[in-house]
Amino acid sequence: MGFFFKKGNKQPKLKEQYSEETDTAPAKSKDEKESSYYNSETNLHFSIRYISTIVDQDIIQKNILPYLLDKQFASIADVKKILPIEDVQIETNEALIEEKLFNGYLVLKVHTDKQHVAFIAAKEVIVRSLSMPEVETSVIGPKEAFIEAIDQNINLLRIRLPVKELMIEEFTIGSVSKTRTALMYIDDIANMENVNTMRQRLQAIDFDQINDSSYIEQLTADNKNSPFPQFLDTERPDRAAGVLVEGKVVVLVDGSPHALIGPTNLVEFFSSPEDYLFNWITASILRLIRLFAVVFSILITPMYVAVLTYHYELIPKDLTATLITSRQVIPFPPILEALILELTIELLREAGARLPTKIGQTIGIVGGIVIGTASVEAGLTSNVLLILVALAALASFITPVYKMGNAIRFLRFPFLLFAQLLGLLGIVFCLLIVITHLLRLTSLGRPYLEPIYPPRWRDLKDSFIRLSFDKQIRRPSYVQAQKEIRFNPKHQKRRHDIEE
Amino acid sequence: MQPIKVQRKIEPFIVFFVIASTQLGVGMLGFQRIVAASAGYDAWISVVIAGIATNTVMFLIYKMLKEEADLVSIHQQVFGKWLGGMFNLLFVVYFGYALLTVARSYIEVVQVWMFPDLNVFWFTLFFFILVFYVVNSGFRVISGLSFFSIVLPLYLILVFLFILPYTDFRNFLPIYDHSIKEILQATKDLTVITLGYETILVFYPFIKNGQKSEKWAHFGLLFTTFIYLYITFLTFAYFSEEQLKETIWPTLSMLKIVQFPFIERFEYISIVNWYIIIIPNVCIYLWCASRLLKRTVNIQQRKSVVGLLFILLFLIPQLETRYQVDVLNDYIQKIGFAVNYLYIPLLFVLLLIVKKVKNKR
Amino acid sequence: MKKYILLFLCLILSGCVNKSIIDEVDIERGVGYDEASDNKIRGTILLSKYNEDGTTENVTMTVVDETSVNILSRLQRQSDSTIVYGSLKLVIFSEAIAKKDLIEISDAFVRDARLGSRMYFVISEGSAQKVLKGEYGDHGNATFISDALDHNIKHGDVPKTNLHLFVYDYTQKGRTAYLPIIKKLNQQRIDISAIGLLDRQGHLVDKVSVKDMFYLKLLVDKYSGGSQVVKLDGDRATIRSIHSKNKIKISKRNPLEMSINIKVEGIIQEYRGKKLTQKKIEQFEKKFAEEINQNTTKLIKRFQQLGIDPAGLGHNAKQQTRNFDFKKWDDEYKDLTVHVKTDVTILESGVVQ
Repeated sequence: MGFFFKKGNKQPKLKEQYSEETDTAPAKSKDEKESSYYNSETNLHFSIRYISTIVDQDIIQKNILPYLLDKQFASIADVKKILPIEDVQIETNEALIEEKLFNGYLVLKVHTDKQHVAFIAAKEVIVRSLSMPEVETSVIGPKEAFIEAIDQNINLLRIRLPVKELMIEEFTIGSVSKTRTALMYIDDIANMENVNTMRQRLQAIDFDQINDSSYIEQLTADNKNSPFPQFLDTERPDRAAGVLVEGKVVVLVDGSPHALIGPTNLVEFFSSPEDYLFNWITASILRLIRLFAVVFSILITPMYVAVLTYHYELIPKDLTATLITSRQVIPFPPILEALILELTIELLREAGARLPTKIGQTIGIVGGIVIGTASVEAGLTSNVLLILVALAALASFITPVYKMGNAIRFLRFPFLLFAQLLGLLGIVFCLLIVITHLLRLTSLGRPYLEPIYPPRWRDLKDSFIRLSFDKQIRRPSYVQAQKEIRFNPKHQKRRHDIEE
Repeated sequence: MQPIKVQRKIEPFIVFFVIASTQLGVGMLGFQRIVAASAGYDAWISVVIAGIATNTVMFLIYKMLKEEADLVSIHQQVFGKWLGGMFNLLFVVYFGYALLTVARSYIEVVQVWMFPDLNVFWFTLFFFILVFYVVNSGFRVISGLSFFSIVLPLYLILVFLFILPYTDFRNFLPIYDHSIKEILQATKDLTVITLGYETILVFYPFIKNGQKSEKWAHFGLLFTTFIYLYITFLTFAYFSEEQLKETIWPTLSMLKIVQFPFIERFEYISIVNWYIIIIPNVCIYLWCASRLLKRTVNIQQRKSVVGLLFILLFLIPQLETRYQVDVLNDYIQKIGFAVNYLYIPLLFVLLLIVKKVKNKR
Repeated sequence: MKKYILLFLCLILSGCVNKSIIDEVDIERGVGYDEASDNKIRGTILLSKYNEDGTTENVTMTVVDETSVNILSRLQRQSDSTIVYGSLKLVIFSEAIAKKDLIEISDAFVRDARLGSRMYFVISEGSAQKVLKGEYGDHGNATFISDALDHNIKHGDVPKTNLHLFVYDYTQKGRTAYLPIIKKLNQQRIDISAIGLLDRQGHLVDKVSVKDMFYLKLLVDKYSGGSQVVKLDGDRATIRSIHSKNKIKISKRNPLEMSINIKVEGIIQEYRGKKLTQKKIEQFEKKFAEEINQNTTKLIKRFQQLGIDPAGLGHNAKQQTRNFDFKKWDDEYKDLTVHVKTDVTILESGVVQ
């Protein structure tokens, strides 16, 4: 480390200049380094300043200092010529120093030229390697997921969409975190209105820290008081690339392995990337099963409570015996019984999510079996309800998007409450409130319930069901893409008559 | 009138659902008895005639709306500012009254069929919170709810088929056993159930390309006529004439016979379903009343909605007996008939004259 | 925010409706009415109590009161939990009641929205209380009896009946109602022993025995699933009707004559005799048709004498006549000539010849 000298040893003038600045700053961080050098060939004194923890020392020692000390380094303009580094900026604006410094740049000052400063990129990016998707797992299909580094993520998307129309706009968001955020869209497909809305919302964010794309999601949501997520988030580059081609807008945030997608709609949250990998019949059936599961998981426990509390007439006579005998020893009314069991399931789920994977699994199984059977044996809950709650929990896991799954998880509690108050009528009351809420909701200004309402026959082909690719001639209409047609159906094979 | 933003407007074909949902309501539960009282088993002819009548009135309405933007400007054209304003306010009262009838009739159904000990005030409050939430969200959401109120209960059409083993379609024979007068009387009685489509006079400016929606409005009317006809046929085949005269809610009584392996009594499900059917009904009336108030006396719509709901909230628990509800329905029948089949054609003629006179000048 | 406060208030204050939690109420499944002294009515209700081992216990409670409606409220006072009657399955009238007050009592059942339309009205030979006090099957007496009726209606000779159809027949001009009659054989068994015929006032006036039930069903019901033994020259076949239709028409006016066309499609279930040839089958068809003609004509004669009309001849005549006059019909009915014509088709004769 012979190159390093104590700060300001040789250049009192520079030091003065810096000390002026640093005096105004409250304190200097330990990792902020500054040192001065002398190029003997051109007789030039210069100093460099950097943050040691975010620059790559290797670059400084191999690619910067040797050149600066040995090459023809006469003025600051030479830096660009002599250094083998691409990102070298020569600026006159001193205000930039701070920002660049903390973004991994080397700040170079030449003793003779006080006006110009050179910023040399020497950032050390610690990148973890690509891994398998953990939230949106799939049996078949691509196995790569986004990681925390934004450049890497953009790279993943670029590889999938190697066209010049793929546009990237970058923003720095967060007054403290200075998070790099990229807005991506395909220029001649995406509707500019969507892009503009997203851009405006990103620019309007005034928050100190952006830790993850979820921050952006919440800060730019159309309705911030809704339990429903209004942007689809994905960790799969294939899904992100897919929606870009549909004409949607993707937001990547540095430090977050999840991309945001907008505009989206309710039904899209129940589509899994695998739906596009199976043939359309399988995929459609899977989607229908998923939607049924969601309705089932929200409504089954409230229905149980409503029917057992108010509408005994509805129960078929053969079922009455089963229900009554299973509840005979239970001291609680159905609502309490249901709440106890639902809360237990929620606790298990939370515990499972907080604990390390292996223990989490064990907790799930042990909790499910032990607590379930024990509470039935102890006469706290009926076994019929236990089955229903367990089925409902299972069904709620089916939602492919985690955030939507959570929203649905908690949706059943108001339903339960109203079922207790007014029976089936209460359930419908709650249902109407949810429907109204969903009708009010928009995603990037586009109706959230589309294609159900406003009804778009055309968009049904990729909603509850997914028709084959040769039927997907147009992009979804709620995106209002510039280019609506995906491909020219004329090139498709004509249908022939029965072979003779 | 300020121009209405495009995002707030609904597409022409949505009018189909809005019109249909205004017509399908609580009246559908009990209209059979009323029409059969005068026309017996020939009342299905009345349903067809009523369908033709509504379509005719709709035709007139669209002719008027081609000239003027909505009811308020029609009134202004025909009667001038002050008198026109008076008529607007009368319509506010009419819509409010219709709203009262629908809400009270439904609550009565809930009382009789589900919860005999229902606390009317609290239930109404519940009901109105939902109504306020919907109306507060604007016309687009109301129309969305209309859509759901048609689509979600559509399965009931199939459920009605389960009563087929208990029907005898020979009950209709001999066809045309009643005089024209009796059939027309039944048609007049039917107006209570076909009310509601006149609200288009108020929400018309909220339709994109208004005139293009005409065919959808007519389809909506045809659809409801079909539904009413369908239910009339099944009811008459299911009940004996005497039995029908004593049954207040034949539609629900009919569903009592439907049984599934998992649900023994289907009428409960259908009552609950009717909640979905009548909500947009109530909301549209309320929205129209408040919109008219806004256009006439310039009260903020949200305030007038709350005001109207409060008045109704204290009126509804006062109406307690079956008789009172019946009287309520009787009046709406008379008023509704007068508004739709006398006043609107009259307004049409007046508007025609006014336009002619103005053109000559 | 105001909205939420309002909602919250609602939640707290809404003790709007009474609950009836399924395991905290007693579910009434059946009720029976007998005559008591002083013109009073003895009402017996049947509750189902479910034991943990899955069996159902029959609990009956009896009380005597002046009206049928009071019975339940009096019994409520004797019970430790609320008795709910929404899933009532079975109402039994003793013969004595059926001859007198059946219609008055049934009014409460028709009026109440809580009750289903598929409930069975049944007349009992002997006391209704005794019938309800048996121990039939594992799932409770009411379930047992209603199931027995169910499958006999579907696959047997009992004509279709339930609360709705009873009211339909009773209120229809030109038609009278009928109800099945059950008999307690012993503590574990019941039998559907006859069909009781009611007159226009709703009083039991006649019974059709098991022997004629098949023919009654052909006349009053749209579909029939009963079976009948037909004998022909010493050969014997059991023919099971799988489908039947009847068409009642006015065949002649002034004087009025009516015809009933019955179409039966059946299969041979059992055959004893010489080889079953096509000719033989045709002979059987003819013989069966003849038997049906004779028996139904006999039944209708009987109806005419009693002035009852379960087949709905009057209703059918009305459908075929403009401005039908029921007063005139009442006079005509007694001496009306009715022709029965039956057409039997045997579709299959099983897997052997």
